[in-house]
Amino acid sequence: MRAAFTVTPIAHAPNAQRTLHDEPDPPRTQPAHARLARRDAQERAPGRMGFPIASCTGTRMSLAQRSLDLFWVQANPGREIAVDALGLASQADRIADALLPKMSVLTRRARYLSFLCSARKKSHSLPELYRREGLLALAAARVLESDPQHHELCPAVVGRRSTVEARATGRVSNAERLYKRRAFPDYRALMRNLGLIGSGTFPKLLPEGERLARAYAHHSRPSQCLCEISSKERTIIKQLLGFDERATPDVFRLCRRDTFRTLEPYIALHARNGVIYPGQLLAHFRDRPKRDRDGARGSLHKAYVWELASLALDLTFAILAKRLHTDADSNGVASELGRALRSSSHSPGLEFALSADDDAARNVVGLAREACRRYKEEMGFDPRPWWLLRMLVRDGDAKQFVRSVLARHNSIKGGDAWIRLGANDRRIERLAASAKLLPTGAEVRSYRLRALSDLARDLGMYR
Amino acid sequence: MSARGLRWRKWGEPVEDFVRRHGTEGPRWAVLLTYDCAATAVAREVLPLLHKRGRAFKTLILADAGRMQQQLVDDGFTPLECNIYNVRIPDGGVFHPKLLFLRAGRRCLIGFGSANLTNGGLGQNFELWGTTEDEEIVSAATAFLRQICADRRLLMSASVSHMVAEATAGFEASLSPRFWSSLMGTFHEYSDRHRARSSGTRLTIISPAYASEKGMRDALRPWSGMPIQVKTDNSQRISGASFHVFDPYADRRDASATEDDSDQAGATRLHAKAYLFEERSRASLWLGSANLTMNALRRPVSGGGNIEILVQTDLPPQEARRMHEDLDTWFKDRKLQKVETIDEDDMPRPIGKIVAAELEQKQRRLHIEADLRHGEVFVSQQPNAAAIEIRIKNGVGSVRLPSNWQVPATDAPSCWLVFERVDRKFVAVLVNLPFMSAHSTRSGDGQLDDVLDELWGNYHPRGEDCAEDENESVAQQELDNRLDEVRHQGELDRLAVKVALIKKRLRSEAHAEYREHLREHVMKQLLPRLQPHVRDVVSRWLGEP
Repeated sequence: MRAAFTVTPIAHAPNAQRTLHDEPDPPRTQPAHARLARRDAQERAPGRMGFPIASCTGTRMSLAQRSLDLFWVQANPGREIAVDALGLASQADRIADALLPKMSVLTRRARYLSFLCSARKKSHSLPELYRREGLLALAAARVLESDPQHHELCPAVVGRRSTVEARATGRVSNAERLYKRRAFPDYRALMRNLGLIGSGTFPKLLPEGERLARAYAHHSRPSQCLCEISSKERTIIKQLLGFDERATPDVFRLCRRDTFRTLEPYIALHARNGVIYPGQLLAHFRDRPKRDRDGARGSLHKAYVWELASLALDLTFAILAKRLHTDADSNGVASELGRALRSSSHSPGLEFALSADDDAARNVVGLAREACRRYKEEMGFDPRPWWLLRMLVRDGDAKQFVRSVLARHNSIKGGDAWIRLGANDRRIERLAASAKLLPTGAEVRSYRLRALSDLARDLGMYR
Repeated sequence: MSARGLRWRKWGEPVEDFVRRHGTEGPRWAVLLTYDCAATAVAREVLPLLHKRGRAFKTLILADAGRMQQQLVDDGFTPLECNIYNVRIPDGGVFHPKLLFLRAGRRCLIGFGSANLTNGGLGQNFELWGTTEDEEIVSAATAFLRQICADRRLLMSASVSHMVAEATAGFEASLSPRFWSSLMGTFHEYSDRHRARSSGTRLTIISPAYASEKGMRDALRPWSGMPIQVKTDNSQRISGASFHVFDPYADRRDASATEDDSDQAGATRLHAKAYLFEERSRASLWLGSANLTMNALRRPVSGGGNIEILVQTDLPPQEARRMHEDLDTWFKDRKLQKVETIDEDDMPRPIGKIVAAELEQKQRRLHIEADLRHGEVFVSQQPNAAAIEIRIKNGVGSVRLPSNWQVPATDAPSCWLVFERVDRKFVAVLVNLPFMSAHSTRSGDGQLDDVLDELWGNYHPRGEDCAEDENESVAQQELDNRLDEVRHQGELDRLAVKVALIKKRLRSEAHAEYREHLREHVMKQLLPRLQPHVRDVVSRWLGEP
């Protein structure tokens, strides 16, 4: 049954010009509908007209000028740097949101939170805050010059590397111009969520932010590095992030705490061996948990399964892109995959990036088999990647799989696709519009676990 | 691109601005009309704007059925926290308008232009978009939304009518000469009816070439005798019209372009549609969804025409000049390499009989509306899996889902996917967990709760209660407290409290006419759905001062 609506018709009467002598539109303080009703009575009855030329007079025009915002749609700035050829990152972001909400892959250093609070407190404008960031990068660069191994202890300092390079070439006229990406926009969302700052691009400090700024100021020295964090700052940040059991939890803190508690033994284990790779952590969750499927353990298992599928598809795309340098024959890629299907193959580890080398086809098949084996429909993923993978491992149709991967890329990227199948459905073509370097392998996504382990190390939660 | 001409803005900026200014007021609704809808783009670019800071807008998307089916095959499906319904036009056209109706309380933002809800539309294509809060356009857009729900030439779910009624509640609907839709007749008829013909009028058309040379010539015929410039992406030879071809890299070839200019570059495909009429220093621009094709401009909907809209604005001379500067930069009088274009007649048509599907999550009941008076449809959870039969009577049917079917774990309004078996093929069908359903079996008491939630603007995706605004929290607390007090009392006590809360909310509206519109809407929508034994008493309470 459809709802019955009434629509007031317009009177199509002979043309009548509205002139400057007409009564102007009522002021905007009047209720909208009263104004409309009044305008209806005045204008519509004796042939109000609006079509092209004749309506461009007097008050009518000023109303149009005032009220309509006309613009060309600006290209999405994120698009130029997007490297997600097959549109698989959005699901990974959802999983990361469930694991570590409000964080990002860039929020890796705990002391940036206190430094930025302090910088905000001292600054009267955003450029001034950026200048303080630049000075921090300069100080960090000096530390690195005196101790080249320091970057392992103190990673993810925004702008440090370019500052070092600029100092080596003698161009340090304006520190904050040395790097394009700033730390404050990266950390702003997390800071806002932790209740350190208010809303806006240059937000006010909230009481917790003031407290943290005081803790930073109390401890800071001019040559200080981000790894020299005081115990007072640590205590406050741990409480805010939810890692401190005594802090009042909200839903986001509980999520982060749950994830950290689940990963804590594995982070400690791998930290003893040196560097922590997110893929290593995920590999501990290859089996589906019997309980707590909606909790951190379940989400980590989902991340593992999604990563297997993503890597298989991304690696296939990289193989296709690499083929451009040889015969650009998509059937050749399908044959390689076909041979890999007939041989025994196992899933490679998730520790390192996979390159589109001679073993790549076997890696694709191994990853695809493992992904299909672990996948359960109730995980709630976009089912399309699994249809593609089943096309390969269950139906054994490598040719159709290769075509479907390319079709997915073209559908995701639209007019901005990097490669496509040519008219004969066989030859891979590079599109002229794409000025992008094509991928040579597939990277393992971090699901913000690297950020978590770095933050935890800064906060002294493991050594 | 060049900083000389019209401004460049992101599609979401006006939306973000509106949400920031008025987002605290309820009811909050976003109705988006589009031809093409990519779930990934909506999830990434649109919903985050509308679900910000706990001020979530109930989001309803209407998209063309044929294109949506193809999109699900090409792109796969990402579950979204909104409702997406398909629209079919059995007479052969496509559902092609691009309209944004964003409402918070008595404020409303209308967006219109050429941008679909896809990666292309939201920034990768060359698109023209306009937004306004002008009452005349708001009123006309309201009328258009209600028209598409009432028009028998369009097939869509009955639930859409209920949602549109809620989304536009309290707004006056009246047609405007500045807002053309193809439901009102063809654009040429409309313009002939209103336009003072003048010998000095020039016409500049911006449109991608979605028609053959003959189709384009036919579309241009009613404007013959007028000097016409066509800015398009494929050169044609048509007498009386000069063609300029889109060159996406033109500004990069411009030696004077700075690095900052080229930061804005990147649009590689022309998709903007606009008709600029000029006479001496006066310029009038119609922008919207209509391409330069017969289906868009000259065929009536009942004769295979599309559903299109165009909105008129008078351009001040300096803005018209800036627009020409932009057009001169990107459109060149030379023949470029022929681009691949889609003929509008080849646009995908919907397959299968299912018009809409809804899931009643708690009852595990699937409701189907079909383009079929009597018969049956077959639905499966996966392609090539065993299908269940659903009997259709008078266009609707429903079935309780077998226990082995996985249904979404949450009952938050969202979309889900099943497959219709058509001969031996399987066609993806969107299933909505709707905000409001024409098939709802909820009690009258539950309907009152819906009205209350609607008026207070209580909607949080994923059930998050993350209200930041102080006033909103107070209102929410008051509502919760009072309902808690009467939770264990009799039905009439509960109803009395809820009606009192509705009346309180209505009284809080300062504008008498808007308040009266809202009250009428509540009475009209609510009373027929209440159980008969309480209808009279609720009607009396609501009617009392």
